[in-house]
Amino acid sequence: MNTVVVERNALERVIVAICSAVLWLTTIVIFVILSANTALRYLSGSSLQWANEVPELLFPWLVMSGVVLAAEKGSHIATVFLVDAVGPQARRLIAVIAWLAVASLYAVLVRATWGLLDIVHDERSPILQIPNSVTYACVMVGMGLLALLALLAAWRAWRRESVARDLSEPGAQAAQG
Amino acid sequence: MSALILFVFLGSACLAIPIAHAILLAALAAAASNDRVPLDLLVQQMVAQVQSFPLIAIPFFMLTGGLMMGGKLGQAIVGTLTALVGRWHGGPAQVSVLSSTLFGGVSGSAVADASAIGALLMPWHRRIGYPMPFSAAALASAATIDIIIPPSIPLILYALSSNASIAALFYAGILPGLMLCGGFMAACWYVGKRDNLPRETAPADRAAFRRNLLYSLPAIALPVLIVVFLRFGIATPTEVAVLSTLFAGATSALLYRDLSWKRLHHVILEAGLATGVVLLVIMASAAIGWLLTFDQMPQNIALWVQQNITAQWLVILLMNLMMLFLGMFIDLPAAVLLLTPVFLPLAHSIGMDPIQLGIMMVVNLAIGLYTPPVGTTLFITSALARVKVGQTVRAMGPFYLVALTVLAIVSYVPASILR
Repeated sequence: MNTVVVERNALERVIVAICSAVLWLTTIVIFVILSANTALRYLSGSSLQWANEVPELLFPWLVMSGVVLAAEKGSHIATVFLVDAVGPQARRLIAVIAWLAVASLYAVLVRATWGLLDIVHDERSPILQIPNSVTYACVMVGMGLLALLALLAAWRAWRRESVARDLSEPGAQAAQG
Repeated sequence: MSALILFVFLGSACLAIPIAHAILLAALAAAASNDRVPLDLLVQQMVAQVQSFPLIAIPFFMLTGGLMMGGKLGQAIVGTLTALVGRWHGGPAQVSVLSSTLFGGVSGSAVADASAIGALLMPWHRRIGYPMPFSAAALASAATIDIIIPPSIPLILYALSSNASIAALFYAGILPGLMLCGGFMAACWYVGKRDNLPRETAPADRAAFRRNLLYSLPAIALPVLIVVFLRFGIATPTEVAVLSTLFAGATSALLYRDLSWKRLHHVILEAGLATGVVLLVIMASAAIGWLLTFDQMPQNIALWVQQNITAQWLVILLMNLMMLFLGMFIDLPAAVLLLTPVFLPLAHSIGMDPIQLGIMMVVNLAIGLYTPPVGTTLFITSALARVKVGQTVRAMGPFYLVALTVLAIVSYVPASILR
């Protein structure tokens, strides 16, 4: 009945690597643009109009990569005290059902977002003329990855596996209530 | 529909489904049960949150906290405060309280505060034989000062929900934050004297104190700069967040010289991950908030209260009791986003200022962070102190008393809110 500790599989490693890279890139670009634009406003009295638009376009990518990364590391806050009170067999069953429910939730939301892409494609950002469908696609991909990770979590719960994590990595010490 | 939302949310949360997913499951169930609610609308509500310019402030305030506290600054602050109050009754616990207050000025997250300060202080407390449940209790409660002293992520969320000014809320949070700091220090002093707890005995090193104080100055200056920049409209909250990150990065790289690539990588990922956790809750709360408004739940509650309760003090008491109860179970950002639309009309009906409501809400819900069964700072500090949560809760009495007193003051004395 003991849980087997396993290493991350290739899919999880790829997701972590991509999300980490997106987080880095978006954070640095938003930081540089907003700092430079604020400095420019005080030095020259004018600011770049597109400089407020780019951070708004990049922010969803930063957020969704953080959301997915947090899901992979189990950092989203949950109330576990009730489930901890039941036996290991019941806990395993609850975990499988719960993660399947989460996977279904995001699958439904992905489907709904997919249906919206055509509609929001015609909405464009005022200056750079970037279609709003780019942001919706970003959220959709993020929700798709959440569904995938939830399926994986259900599979691991079923097989009584847990992923080995280095406690020094970001988010590894997340509090679970 | 509101009853179905509550039922599905509580059921999902009890199954250990993360709170954000549980809120979305409740929203999905409500949408499926009502033909007039298209799923597209829920998706639009969610996406609108990640297109909000003011919310870009969140990752950068988190990044600022990570850059400032992960390195030598944290040690300098603790060193300065130990020299200042370590010899007093309850001094070691008072260092936790003062450190949290100072850290509150560079970060907007109580969880980050509890983790960073706990990691610095707990080994010292253990070494001098301090009772670890009391040490955990002091830090669990003090860490919440962080989200009342500016910058504060819950206050940014309240501002977005209520259309109140972020600058006004940040300014208004200063006095209640300092009242909590003073109250918690007094509680530490009382328990330290009553139980004759160990204190710092090493002779004071004046040179080290001066060096540590000099090192701590940027942390003292940053909250002042944030409030000044916002108060006088020098920059928007998002710009202030980015500038404070620049300040923290420059201080870390040039003054403390502790900014390595490895550390930068760690704090960027940590800040991004924490942003993801908060923003998913915000996205989910926006969807459920729209549904509750569609179901006219806030208006119905406001109407019921107006018809049945006329005394102003009773309405405030009722709001506080509801928040205290919900705060024990629901994540703080979600509680702020769900309760603001419900309580704003109520506050308006009794003539309460929205800024005062925001401060009252955050002071109140912050108590939920160190009350069982779901208390984030309570769990973190208990884990760091290596004691059971129940032991920490038993040592928490004086801190609950202080927090409830300050809550009563901000609720019933509008003058306690700076404007």
